[in-house]
Amino acid sequence: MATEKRVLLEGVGVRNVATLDGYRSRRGYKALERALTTMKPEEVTAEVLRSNLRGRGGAGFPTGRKWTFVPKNTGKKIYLACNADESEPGTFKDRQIMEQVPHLLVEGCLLACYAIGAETAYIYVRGEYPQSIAALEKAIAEARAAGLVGKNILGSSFSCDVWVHGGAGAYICGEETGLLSSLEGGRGYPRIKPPFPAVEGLWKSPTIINNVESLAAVVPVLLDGADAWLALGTPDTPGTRVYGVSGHVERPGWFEFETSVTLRQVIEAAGGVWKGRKLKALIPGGSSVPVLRADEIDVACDFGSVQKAGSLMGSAGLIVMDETTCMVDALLNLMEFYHHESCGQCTPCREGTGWLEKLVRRIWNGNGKPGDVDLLDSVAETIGGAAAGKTICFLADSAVMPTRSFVKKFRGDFEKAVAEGGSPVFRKYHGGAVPAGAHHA
Amino acid sequence: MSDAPPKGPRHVFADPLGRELDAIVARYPRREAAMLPVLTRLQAERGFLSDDTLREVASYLEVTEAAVVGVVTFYSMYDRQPVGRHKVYVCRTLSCRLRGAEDVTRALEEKLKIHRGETTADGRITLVPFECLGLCDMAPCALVGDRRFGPLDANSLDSFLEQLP
Repeated sequence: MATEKRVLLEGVGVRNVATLDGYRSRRGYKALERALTTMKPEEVTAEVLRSNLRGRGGAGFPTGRKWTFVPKNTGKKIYLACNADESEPGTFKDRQIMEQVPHLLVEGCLLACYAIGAETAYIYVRGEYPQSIAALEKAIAEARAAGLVGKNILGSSFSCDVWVHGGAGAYICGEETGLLSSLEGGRGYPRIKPPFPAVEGLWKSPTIINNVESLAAVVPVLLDGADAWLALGTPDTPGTRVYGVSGHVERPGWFEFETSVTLRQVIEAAGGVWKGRKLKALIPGGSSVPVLRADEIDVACDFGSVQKAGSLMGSAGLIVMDETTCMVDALLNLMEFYHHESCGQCTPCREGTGWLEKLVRRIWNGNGKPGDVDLLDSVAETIGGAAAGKTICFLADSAVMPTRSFVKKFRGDFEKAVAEGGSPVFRKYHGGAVPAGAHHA
Repeated sequence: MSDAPPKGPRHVFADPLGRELDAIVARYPRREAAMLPVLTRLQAERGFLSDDTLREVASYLEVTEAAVVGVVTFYSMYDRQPVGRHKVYVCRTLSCRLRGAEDVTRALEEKLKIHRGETTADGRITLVPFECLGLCDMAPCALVGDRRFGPLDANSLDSFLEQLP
């Protein structure tokens, strides 16, 4: 059994580290004090760059490098937007940080603002997390009363406000430019890049967007130095990560491990596959990444290793599926999600996610025709390609990756559903009869 | 129109709500950025967002009514019609489905004698299947206001519903 390494979530469940006093008991705000009294902003960025801290939202882009993209001397205000939208199915790690150690995120925001020259940070929290919003607002009020947020923090010349901004239910607002559109008061429409947000973000001002866990990790990097962070995990992805495990395991939950832990060990930490059953499939990093088979999970949970294994570590939300799972039913569930969440701006995504849902549904409900499985794969291949300029953002690709990998690795489930009158899950709920125009059971 | 909201952002909402909303607006360099928090606050206050409320918000934030309607229709958590005293979001996405979300939703439909999406005749509960609530460790889960419930199963639904009088 792998042992947890609590760095970000140190003290959680042992003592109350949610309050300012509790947070101070784990050297809270000492990193900020150190930065403000002994380091220039560019030295803070340099230390984060040296730590090779990679973005914990899922893309793994080096946090310090992102900070260097803020143009110098534009005369414009600079903003920090913390991405706390955490809407990726199977992902619930940022919620733990926001509710159990909210001051860690506040301190991370302040350090980032100091480094990039911002005086305002907005934490964009999904509307489905009212408890996270309340915990952060309480922490910010405490910090403000203690002179840690607001004017002349800790007696320095650095002033910074931190505000919580609640969303209202839209997956696309976790896409960084969709988040900016939403923060400005509009629909969460992603924007064409370039210009990148670091140059033209909120109100056309330079804006850095970092995930909750990335900003939280800045604190230990500054507190104990980049070398201490580099000593944890793998060279590919130094440090720890908070892994969320859900689906068919005995004890769903979160665990903080060094990134050298394997996917199998993370599943074991959650009690293993439930009911003594065997593993069938694993989605390792939130629902958008390619699915893995049971024989593909002996890899380290860093970005590079999981990519070599044919998937992505993404948001580190592991969704476990046991041997009884019908992969057609699981894919239909995901396609309903992506179709519902497509913002509708780009035709390949708006129409394509609808087609994917329709095709999987007809295989699921027994109306599949010979050739439908190939058709499904072909539609998926056609609509994906944000990197090639086909769509503004990667939402369509997020539907394509599960679709193509499900079909490739579990083709038998799909062929069987075509041949045998639908998914066993469909038959369970509808007794074999196809209800006219029925919505998904 | 005699019932039109007064012109000018400062007089749209009476205090203390007006003061509270002004404090939200002050966090941003532009008034319209307060759109989501203002709508969320008004929905909490009034139960749903009526056409009149949308007109007031447009006037208050100095944007067009179309802009407000565009926003309200984009996000899943805004209600343009009255809902029950308790709006029950039952998660329907993969981690919950794998652990029986469909069985839980069907059992709730039976107990409440409504279909998903509907409100009980006494106006007590609206049942809404919802995309991933981010409570995958509590699957199958539900969110009601700011209260979370899970893991739910057919046997625990009576005690769940008792908490929603």
